[in-house]
This record gives sequence, structure tokens and C-alpha cells, in this order.
Amino acid sequence: MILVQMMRWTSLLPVLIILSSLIPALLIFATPENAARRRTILNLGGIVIKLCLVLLMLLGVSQGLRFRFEVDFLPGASLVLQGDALSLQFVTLSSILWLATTIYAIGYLQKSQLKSRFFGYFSLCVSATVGIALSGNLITFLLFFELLTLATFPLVVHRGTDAALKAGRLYLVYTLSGGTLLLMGVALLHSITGTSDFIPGGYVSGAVEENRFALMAAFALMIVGLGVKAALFPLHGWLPRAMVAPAPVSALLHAVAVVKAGAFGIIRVVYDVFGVETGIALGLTPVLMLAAAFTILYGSIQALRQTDIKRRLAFSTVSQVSYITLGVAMAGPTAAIGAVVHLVHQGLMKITLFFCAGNMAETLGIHRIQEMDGLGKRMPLTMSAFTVGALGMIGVPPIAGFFSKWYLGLGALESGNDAMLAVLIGSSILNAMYFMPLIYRGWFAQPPTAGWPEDNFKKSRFETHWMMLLPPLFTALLSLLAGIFAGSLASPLGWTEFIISQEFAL
Amino acid sequence: MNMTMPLDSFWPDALIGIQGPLDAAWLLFTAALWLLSSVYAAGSIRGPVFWTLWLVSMAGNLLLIVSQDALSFYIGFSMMSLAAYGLVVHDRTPVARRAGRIYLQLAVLGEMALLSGLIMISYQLGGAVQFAAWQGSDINPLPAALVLAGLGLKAGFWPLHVWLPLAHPAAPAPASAVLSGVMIKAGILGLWKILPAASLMQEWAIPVMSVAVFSAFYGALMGLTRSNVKQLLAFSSISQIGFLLFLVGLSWHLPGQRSEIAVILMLYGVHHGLAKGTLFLAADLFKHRIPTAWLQALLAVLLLTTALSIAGLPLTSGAAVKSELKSALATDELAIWRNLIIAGSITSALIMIKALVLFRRLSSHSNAEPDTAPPGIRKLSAWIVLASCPAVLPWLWPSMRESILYSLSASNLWALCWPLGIAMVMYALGSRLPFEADRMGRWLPNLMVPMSLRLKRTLGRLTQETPDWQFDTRSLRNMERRWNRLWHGSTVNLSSTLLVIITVLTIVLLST
Repeated sequence: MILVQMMRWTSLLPVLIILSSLIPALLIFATPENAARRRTILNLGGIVIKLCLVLLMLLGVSQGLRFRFEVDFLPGASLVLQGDALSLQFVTLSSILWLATTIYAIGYLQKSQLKSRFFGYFSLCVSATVGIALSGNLITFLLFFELLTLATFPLVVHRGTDAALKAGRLYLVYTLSGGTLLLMGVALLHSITGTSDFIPGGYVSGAVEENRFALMAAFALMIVGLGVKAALFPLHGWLPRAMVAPAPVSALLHAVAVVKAGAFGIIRVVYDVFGVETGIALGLTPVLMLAAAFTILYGSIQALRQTDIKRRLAFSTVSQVSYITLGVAMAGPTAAIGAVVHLVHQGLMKITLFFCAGNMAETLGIHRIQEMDGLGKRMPLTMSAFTVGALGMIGVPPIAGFFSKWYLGLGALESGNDAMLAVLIGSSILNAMYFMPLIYRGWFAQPPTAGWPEDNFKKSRFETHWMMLLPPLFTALLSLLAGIFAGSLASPLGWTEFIISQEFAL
Repeated sequence: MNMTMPLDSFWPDALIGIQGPLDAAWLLFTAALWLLSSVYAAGSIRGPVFWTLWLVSMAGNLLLIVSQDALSFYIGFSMMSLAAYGLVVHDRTPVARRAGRIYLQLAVLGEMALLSGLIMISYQLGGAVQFAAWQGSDINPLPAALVLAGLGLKAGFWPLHVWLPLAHPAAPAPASAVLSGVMIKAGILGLWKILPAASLMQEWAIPVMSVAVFSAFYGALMGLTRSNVKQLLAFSSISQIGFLLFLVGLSWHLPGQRSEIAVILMLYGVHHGLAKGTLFLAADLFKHRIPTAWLQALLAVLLLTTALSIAGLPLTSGAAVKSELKSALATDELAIWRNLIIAGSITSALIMIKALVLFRRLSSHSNAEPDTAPPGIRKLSAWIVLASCPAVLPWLWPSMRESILYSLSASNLWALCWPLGIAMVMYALGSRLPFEADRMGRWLPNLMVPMSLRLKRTLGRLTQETPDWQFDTRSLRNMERRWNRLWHGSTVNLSSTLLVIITVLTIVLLST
């Protein structure tokens, strides 16, 4: 009977989605270093299969089907994978960005060593991320969360230089401590209420009377644990250091997997474990909101102070990811729309920026902001994509970032947190102050008379290797389309409204 | 004339279309000015960056005119504003870069003010974004002030004009033409569309009208102190935008006459946009050597009618709008405003006379130099078409034809002519005085210039500091040393420490 239930396609699909990148990951580890073609086929084959499966699940969920898979794991807590609207948002985002990042990485790492190791861990990372997204309860979530930490470490230290090793060590210290705190929080909550599936509105409200402080402690532990990955101040220290990693890894850290996993976890904990009303009743969401608001401004101001392009982008992530936390913590439906949709929008825009920064570094050896002078003449397409990403971060319409900001702003007023509107507007101004000089230099300044620091890919038909050029153009286009067609149901915003209507039972 | 179309699959609740004659007429004249300026710009300007931003800016401008909801308006508005930065700095000279910097800083600030205002209004009305739902509802003072400031920064009336006299002269002529001709009107159109004529705006009407009239005088008088023709024209725009703002304020003051005032606003906007566009283009055209004498004469006549149409020369579009404006103020209650507007037309005439003098100087200078290139056919044809508008348009366009026929009555003609005459006399007298107006301009510094520079320098300094705080591991080592010393010291040390620990533990245990 159990077997029959397990064999139903609706319960198999979540497993298959994870396996579609896990199996390629294991096969790639076994691939010899020089078998580039086999590796590429494995990578792209896995992606195509995963995208098809995700599409199938999207259609299913929009038709009202339930996807659930369960096996026994711990006493009182089984391993549950389920596909609901929120998890699919994240799965779709990471799958599509995985496609872009893999193509980019193949172009980027052509001359690099240890590619099998790299791509193996890369696919493993995506499996873990998809696992996080599809987790149906906290235990499963925790499992994949730790797996993600471990799978990312080899990527951060991929270059093997001193700086990379140091950054990697720092990354481990931060994320493992975060993971431990998360574990403690989950264990504490498990001892109070047991572990049931994530459900809109949460499942702890019955225990509020008796275990008020224990619940608060569990919440704090979990948020701090997740906040390490979500780069919440003061737990963000690893993120700017980790920018020594190769550009595809930065893209993975900032847009596809790690930071997003933290933010996604916060969404899950606040909405589906504690529930918005319990969160307010315990007095927890205002604290989280203030932390997020501070991080937004702090990240922006720190970004303003950087001279290195990737460091500036890293601090920008610190700031932008906290928009998600802020929206969640404001605890209202409209703010929630802004938060959840920003998960996607920030991912699209930030990955574009990191791809472009990688192109600049690999093609012309540009690492510092001052070196971007006149870049638009040499690399117009890269610079155009960069401009779209940067303007989107500022919140210039019709790029996607504007719509996140609009809903977050409306949500701030709706939930009675008028000051947060000022934070959002202030952050937009700061964003303009640290992104516009880059755009100015790229398009309006004169190129250096002494020539570029390096000049690679001169023989290429395009301004750089086509595999590095296509992904940023693709993601820039997506972030434009996500904004222009924000009102259609198939857009991230349309889907998010569907999610939130379920979460808040509107 | 009402046509609207929801764009369901675009941004949420997107609704574009035309509501009333104001939208329709402004759409047409905006498109026409962009077209003619494009033809003119094609005569000299090259470069993909300029043309890309030109098109983005134009798309934004047209979108905001046809927008019937706040999101579409804001999308169009920021596309237009931000892309226009590239038009301002096109020449890449230090002056252009400075103007561009100030333009951009204030554009971002204005957009953020507008955005927060729009979010607040939309929240207040339950998330509605379509203007149809906004009209007639009462809004709070804060969002209204934010919208007024945000759009005012674009419209450029006093005291939000600081970027305008820097940016408009720095841009290449076709860009100045669209900046002054149509883009600043976007601010006025926005005020008209967004802020409803509800009780709050009725309270604000008189202050806004006062600011508008002050702006009209201020722009004209400041313009008189300029000897660069483009700077003078920029100040004239500040002055003219004052009249447009006055009409918006008047519509709040007299909510019952909103549709009549809409017609005047429409005529005024079209008239000023085309005339000012022509004049800015002329500032470039007359730098060329005009080859033949008959062409010189033709251009001179066209320039003269265009410039004086802004001063309200009879038989031109200027006469039509000035008469309409005065007839709207015919009641006794508004007599003071009527007198102020009449005084304003004297200053308008003064500044236009000065503009003509400067133009004459410019063209005689360039015609005297044999090396100066003649204007190409693109520039000439575009300019001639545009410059004939003030004289031709009143007869072609039915709405304006009524007004011009109305302005032809003897009393109206007299009302138009005498301010012009007084201005001429005043100018003739003033230019004989031993007093250099040009020098006065230098006494009045623009505070925005040093402030913007300071902001830039502060940002520059921020990036030069040590980029990030690092934990100094040496301090840990020192602590460790101290700790070790403590333990390896005397037995006194050890025993005293133990004693302290025991005491603390005892206290803790006893107290629980």
C-alpha cells in the first residue's frame, strides 16, 4: 500500500526533481578531467530534464494538484518533500539560473583545472538548493541546508589561493555556526510542538500560552542561523570575503543558492512554521524588521565605500536580500508579495551583475571601479546588461526591481510601518549613489589611453566568449520582461500573488 | 475624445489611452516636436549612446502622456528623466558634465519624492493605481507635497528650477529643444493628472498660484541678466512654466471650470512647447552661415514671429493663449491675478526682445565668418516647419482658431499690443542706462552648484577610506599573554583568583 502510494507520479516528482541534478553530480565526479564533452552533456542533460520536470510541476500546482513524498527518517519527523506554490517559485528560479550559470561556468572555466570537481559540486549545490525549496518540514529543510553549506565550500576555495582558502575557512566558520544554531532552534521547537509539515499560518499557535519564552528562543535561534546565510547584519561578514571565488560561484552564492536559501528559510519560518499572527503575538517580527531595515541601510553604505566592483556588488546583496527579510517581517499580505517576488527579482538582477563583473575581469582584467572608464565602447553588450541590472537594483522601472519596491512600499504603509517606506526610499537613493557612477564610467567616460589591463578573446566574434556573453544577456532580458509583463499571471509577480493568496487565505 | 485600453499582461492595472483633449493635443505636439528635433539632430549628432537614450527618453515621454494609471506614468516619467541625462552630457565638456551631474542628482531625488508620494496615495485609496479612481478623492498633505516636489523638480518652476539653467544650455540644441519644449511639461501634466481637485488642493491653490507668478517674473528677470542665448532661453522656460503652473493652480482654485482651464492649458502647452523648441534649435541654426539673402530674410522673419509669439504677438498662437488666459481671469475676484499676468507678459516681452538682440548678434557673427559651415537640408527643413507653427497653427487647429478669432477683437488686440509696446520702450531705455545687466547674473550664485560638488566629493572620500573593519588577531595574542602571566605569576595571584571564584559561586548558590 505504501509502495503504491510512493509510486504515484505526484509523489515521485519532487524526488525526481532533486535527482535530476544529484545523479549528474555524482556522474560528473567520476568523469575524467579531459572529458569535457561528456561533462557538458551530463550538465545540460540534467538541466533540461529538471526544467521539464519543474514545468510539469508548475502546471500541476496551478491546476491544484498536491505533490508530496514522505519516508520515515527520525522518530516523529519524517523526511517530507512537497511542491507547493512557494517552493516552486524558488525551484523555478534556481533551475533557470542554474542553466544560465552552468553555460557561463563552462565558458569561464575553460582554462581552469579540476573542472570535474567544480561541476560536480556545482550540481550538488543545486540539488541541495532544490531540496531546500521542496522541503516539506523543518527537519528536511535542515538536512538540505547543511548539505548546501558543505557542497558550497569546495567551490569557494576552488582557486586554491591563500585568499580563497581564507575566505573558505571564514565561510565555513560562519555557516557551520549558523547551521548549529539552526539545529538547536529546530530541536527546541521539535521538543515543544513536534515537527509537522509547513502549513500556511504555522503550527505553533497552540503552544504560545505555555511555552512563550521557549518559542521565542527557538525563533531567535532559527533566525540567527538562517540570518548567517541571508547575510543579515552582523552575520554578513563572510559574503564580501567570498567574492574571491570565481564569478559563477559568486553568482551561485548571491543569486541562485546560498543567500537565497537563507532568505527562503526566513520566509518559511515566519509564514509556515510560526505564522504571521503568532510572530506578531510573540513580538518577534518587529525585531526582525528593525534588523532588516538596519542591514538594508548598512549594506548600502558599505557598498558605497568599496572600490572593487565585486565587493560593491557583494555589499549590495547584503542590502538587497534584507528587502526580502524586511517584507516578511512587516507581516502583511502586500509586503509579503514584495518580499517573495524580490526573491526572484533580486536573483535575476544580481546574477546579471555578477556575470558582467566576471566578463569584465576575464576579458579586460577589470576589477576596480575606476578601471571601468569607457567600457561601453569595448563591451557594449556586457555593459548594457550591467546597466539593466544596476538600474533594476536602484528600482528604475520598468525593470523588475521597481515592482518589488512598489509592493514593499505599499506593504510598509499597510502594516503601519511608515518609517520603512523611508528606509526603502533612502536605500533607493543610496543604490543610485553607488550604481550610477559605474554606469557613468562605462558609457560616458573616455577609455584609458594606456589600454586595458588585459585584453583577451580578441579573436572571438563577440566582445568576449559567447558562453559568457549569452547568460548575462539572457538574465538581463528576463529581469526586463519580469518587470514589463509583471501583471501577467506567468510572471514572478503574478505567481507570487497566487502564493500569497494561499498563505494569507485571502 | 476618450479612448483607453487596458494592458492586462503588462504591469498590474496598466491602462493607457487618452482622456480628454489635453492628452490628445499634448500627445500630438510632443510627438511632432520629437520628430522634428530628431530630423534636426540627424543633421549633426552621431553616436549610438545618444540615439539609444534619445529613443528611450522619447518612449518614456510618450508613455507618460498616454498613461491613465500611476504605474504607467511613473514608468514613463523615469525612463524619460534618466535617459535624458545622456542627452545633457552628450558633449562631454566639463560644463556639460557638471550640468549632467546636478541634473541626475535632482532627477533621482525628484523621482524618489514622486514615488513615495504615489505609493502613499495608492495606499490611501486601497491600492488603486488608476487615475480615474484618484480623481475627486481627498488625499493627505504629505503625499500631495511629495508629488508636487517630485514633479516640480521636473517642471522646473521656482524654487525647484536650479538644475534647469545649467542643463538646458549644456545639452546639444535638439536635446535642449525637447528638454525645454516637452519634457518639463511632463511635470505639469503629471500635476494635472495625479493631484485631484479636492479640498486640500483648493487650500493650496493660492500659494501655488503665487509661486507660479513669482516664477514667471523671476525667470524673466534672471533671463535678462544672461548674455548666452541658450541660458536666457532656459530662464524664459522657467518663466513660462510659471504660467502653466498658474493654470494648474487656477484649476484647483476653480474646480467648476476644470474643463475650460484644461483647454487653455492644452493651448498654452502646445504653443510654448513648439515655440521654445524652435528657439532652442535656432540657437544652433544661427551658428551656421546662411548662404543666401532670401533665406536669411525668411529665417529672420520666422524667428521674429516665434520669439514674439511667446510675448503674445497678435495673430500668433501666443496671442490666442494670452487672450484665453486673461478671459479666464475676467471676474472681479481674480482681478489681481489678471493684473499680475499682464505684468508678466511685459516681462515675457522684455526677455524675448533681449533674446532677439542676442540672436542678431549671433547670426551676424556667424555670417561674417566665411569658414562657418552652412546648415544641412535636415536642419533647415526641420526648423522651418517648426518655426512656422506659431503663425500657421492657429488657423489649422480648430480649438485654437476660436481663440485667435476671439483675440482679434479691438479691445483684445489693444490688450495684447500695449504690453509689447511698453516692453520695447523699457528695453530701449534700459539698454541706454549705464548699467550692465549681464554682470548682475554673476552676483547671484546658484547654491546647487557647490552643494552638488560637495556631495560628489563626499562620496569620493568615502571610497578612499579603509574598506572594511578587520578583527586584529594581535590583540587576542596580547590578551592570551596577560592571561598566561596571571597564572604563571605568584601563588598570591592564584589563590586570590580562586578565592574570588569561590565567593562568587557561594553567593550564586546561596541566592538560589
